[in-house]
Amino acid sequence: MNRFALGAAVLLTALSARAQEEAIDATSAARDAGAADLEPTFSDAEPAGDDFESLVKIDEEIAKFGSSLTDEVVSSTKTAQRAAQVPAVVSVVTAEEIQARGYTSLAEVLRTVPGFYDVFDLVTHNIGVRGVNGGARASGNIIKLMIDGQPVDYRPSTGNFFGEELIPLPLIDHVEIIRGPASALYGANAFLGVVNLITKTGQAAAGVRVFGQGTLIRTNPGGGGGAMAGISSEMFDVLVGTQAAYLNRSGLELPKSSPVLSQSGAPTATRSENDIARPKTLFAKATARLKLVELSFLASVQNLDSGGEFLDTGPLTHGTRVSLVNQNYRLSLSAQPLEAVTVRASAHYLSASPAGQERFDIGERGYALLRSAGVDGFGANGEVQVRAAKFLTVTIGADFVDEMYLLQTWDHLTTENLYAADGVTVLRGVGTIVPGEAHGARQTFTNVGGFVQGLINWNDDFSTVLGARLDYHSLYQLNPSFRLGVVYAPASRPLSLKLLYGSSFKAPSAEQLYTQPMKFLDVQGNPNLTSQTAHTVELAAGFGFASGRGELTVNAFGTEILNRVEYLQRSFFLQAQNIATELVVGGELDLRFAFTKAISARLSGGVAKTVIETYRFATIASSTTVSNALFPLAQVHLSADWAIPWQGFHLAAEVSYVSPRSASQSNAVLAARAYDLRGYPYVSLVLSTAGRKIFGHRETSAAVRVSNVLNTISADSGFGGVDVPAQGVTATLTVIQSL
Amino acid sequence: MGFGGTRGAGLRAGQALLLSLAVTASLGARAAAPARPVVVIRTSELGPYTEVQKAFVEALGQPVQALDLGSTDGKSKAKAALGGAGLIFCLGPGAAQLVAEEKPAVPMIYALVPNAEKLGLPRESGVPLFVAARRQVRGIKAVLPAAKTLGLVYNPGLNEQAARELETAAKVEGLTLVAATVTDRSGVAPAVKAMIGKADALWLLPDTVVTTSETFRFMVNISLTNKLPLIGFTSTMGKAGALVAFEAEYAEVGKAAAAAALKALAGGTARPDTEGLMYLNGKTAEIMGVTLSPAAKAMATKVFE
Repeated sequence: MNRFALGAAVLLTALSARAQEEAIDATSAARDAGAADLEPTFSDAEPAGDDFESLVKIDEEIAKFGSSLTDEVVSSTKTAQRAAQVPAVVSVVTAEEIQARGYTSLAEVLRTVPGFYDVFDLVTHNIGVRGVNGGARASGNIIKLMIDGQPVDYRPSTGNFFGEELIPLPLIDHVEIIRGPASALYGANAFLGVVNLITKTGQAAAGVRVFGQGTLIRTNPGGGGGAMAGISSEMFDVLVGTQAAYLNRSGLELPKSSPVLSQSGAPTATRSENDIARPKTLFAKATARLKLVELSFLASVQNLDSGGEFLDTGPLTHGTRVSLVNQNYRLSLSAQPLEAVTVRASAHYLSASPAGQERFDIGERGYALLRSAGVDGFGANGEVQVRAAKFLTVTIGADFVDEMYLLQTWDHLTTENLYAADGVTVLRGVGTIVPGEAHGARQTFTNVGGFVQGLINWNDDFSTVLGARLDYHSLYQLNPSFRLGVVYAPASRPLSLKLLYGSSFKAPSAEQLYTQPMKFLDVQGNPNLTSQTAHTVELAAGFGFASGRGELTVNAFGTEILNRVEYLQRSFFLQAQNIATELVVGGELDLRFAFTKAISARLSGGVAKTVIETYRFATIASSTTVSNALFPLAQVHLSADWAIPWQGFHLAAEVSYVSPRSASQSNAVLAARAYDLRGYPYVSLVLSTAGRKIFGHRETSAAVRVSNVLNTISADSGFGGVDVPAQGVTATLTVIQSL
Repeated sequence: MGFGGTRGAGLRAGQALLLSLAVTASLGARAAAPARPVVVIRTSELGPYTEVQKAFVEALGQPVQALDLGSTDGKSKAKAALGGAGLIFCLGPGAAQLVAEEKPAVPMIYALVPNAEKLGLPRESGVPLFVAARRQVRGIKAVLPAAKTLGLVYNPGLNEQAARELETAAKVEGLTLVAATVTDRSGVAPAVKAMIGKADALWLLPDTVVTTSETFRFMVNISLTNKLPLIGFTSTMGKAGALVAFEAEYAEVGKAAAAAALKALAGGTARPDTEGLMYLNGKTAEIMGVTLSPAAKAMATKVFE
């Protein structure tokens, strides 16, 4: 398959101009000749009433599919396409759904998307995809997370912020979610999925809105608030928003399944304390429409700031605080010098580092650890999209990134005076910082990439995508990625069939390569780590029900992962190592159906299982061999929505069941046996209303969401002997008020 | 002669006086008689009928006798009311058909009747289902200033006159209408596809043969794929992918009908018309590479994003 994709890509790029013209002519002729056959025949089986009621009925049916026809997705091909036509398995979550469901974070949005599973250690959301989790300290780094096409991962670990710190959700127009590889377009880390948040325009969000949240996590009150503003004119369009929250997650116990409880270093505390999160975020974008070009500036700043009571660095020490600041700024331009040619270019600057309040209490008396790490980087990219013929769109692009990393080391912060033998002389006073080993070490990463993609619409029904990308990294050298997709999505019928292949790679992060261990048995960098590579084949089908009542999409996939990374003990430390090759197979289903105009339901779910797993070294005892760590074999989500015919209220219920998950390899080794975490149900209820004019002509939207209504304190596997408890029942009232 | 003339003049004066008294008496008698009521007959309780009726009554400023054909004995009550009506306002095809069959000798106005031509109703008495053609053309020119040719696919059995109105309005603004007729749904797809390359935009009329939810889905796909802007006739169509859509609000339809009714009661005639609302789809514009000018946006009631 890989060779085939390579051959196809090479063939595409090698076509001479003349050969392309001939190919275009031949295809055009074929299209003309067969045009009559391609026209759908609309039936008179249900004769048209020529009365007004029939017109009203038609209008109601059109309203049911609403704007879905123009719900274009850009993330898959960098070309606006209808979801049915996109050569990828894709889901779209709209702003209306986000508001109606009272979601407060991207993690909540993704929770019921089939194929994803979130392991939340109450600091970061380590989201896995299709049977694969990124492992220790991954924070969902097998997903490429972008805002308006700009990657916003925390570069030192390549982990992602999926929580309240990412972006104020009222700024989001829709979320494009791709399950499957996308490195042929986006390069490193678009490994098993892409999530692209598309923000509203200033025009769409015109005016000023304030939003407030009241949160109750079990019995712990909290809340937050923010504001957003949109303004636009003929020449400018500006959107800006900010948000901060206070969330108290204290009062949870370490799950009894945690191996650390049976070890000598077991924590003495039984409940989490002072587990406060204070996420903060700022987002702004401004667009200037000039005569020939459109200039845009984007700024995205996140501050993840959370207690860390269930981290592998030391559970329930009550003194750990993770605080990271992540900043991305981008200046971009796009121009359309010719009707068929679009040129885009951008330059970005990024910076990421721990914030001052971060510290790690590892349970040692007299000192805590301060993380020294960070990155400053810049990059540029350019691409040209040419509609070479009516049926062919070619996109060619190149990009460059230069990042200077301050490698992760651990300084000692003295928390108690250290006395000399006389018991009086203070050798080291409280607050003294002792630089850790290799403190200040730096490393530059550079990457150059180029891609070409051909999108061919053979006719109104069939399309093909061919893509290839080559990345050259200063450390892990060459990484080629390919894609091939064939899509049948007839314009006349709500039907689609897709056969897709893609390869992708997950590059090792600076943390995985170079981090110093914070303590004995902690993670130590492995400079010899290489990229993980995946080859994925997908078969997907979608079918829309008559009268726009709903749709069914199903897909099956097989993903072969080469050089899969696991953390293994090497001398006194754990090291990420490329040790396994595995084949994961599975599928997903998403069924949406509207029983009436007011009542609809959705059933979604997924299964994923590793069927072949081969270890490069025989260092793992068979009793501790783990497959699909941290990912359930199956999960099912059933939700129902009722538009109550009173005051515009909307009631929604979500019921999920998550099957057992294997504990991490790290925990299995510490427990000296592989073990599973129990399956659990998860129920949420939401009551919302949107666009109510309560205060004059100003619109008010509100939602009360109660997540985990049953207060199921399930457990998920963490690392280093720690399992992580669920947050418990959480009620959130969100109010958005236009001013 | 003079006397005689005087006598004759006196006779004429007496006759004139008598005539004046008779006329005055007659007028007085007429004025004293109760005014014949405005009768509103609606086809059913369908929401749009109710909305139009409400706006009609408010704008008319006088009480009406409202009848519903869908109610018990609605049809016989409506027939009985026709004889004593001063003006009849029909809502929907059912009501319009009943009145057309009974042929009462009083002014009649109708609204929300898509098959008026088929029922033989006079066009000048009906509030059209689509926004005034000239208004639409002005809007189209603001959104697509480079457009020269507009395509129209319609069923002549329902919309021949409407098509002619569009053609005339287009011509006034320097546009050419390329029309294709279809009489059943099997002809819709070829007719729509034939517009690719021939027309700069595709116009839709309220027509249950040409426009169904399925054909509309097809047309949006053709529209987006071939950058052939679609011009719809409801805001829903604008939201669902038509680049531009014109919709006559039900309240406006009711007001237009009331204005026509008042003129008819005063003995005049005026064809009811609606200015309507214009809707744009920003996403469609983006996909098609159409830049929505400030003027176009200013004309629009809403730009769907």
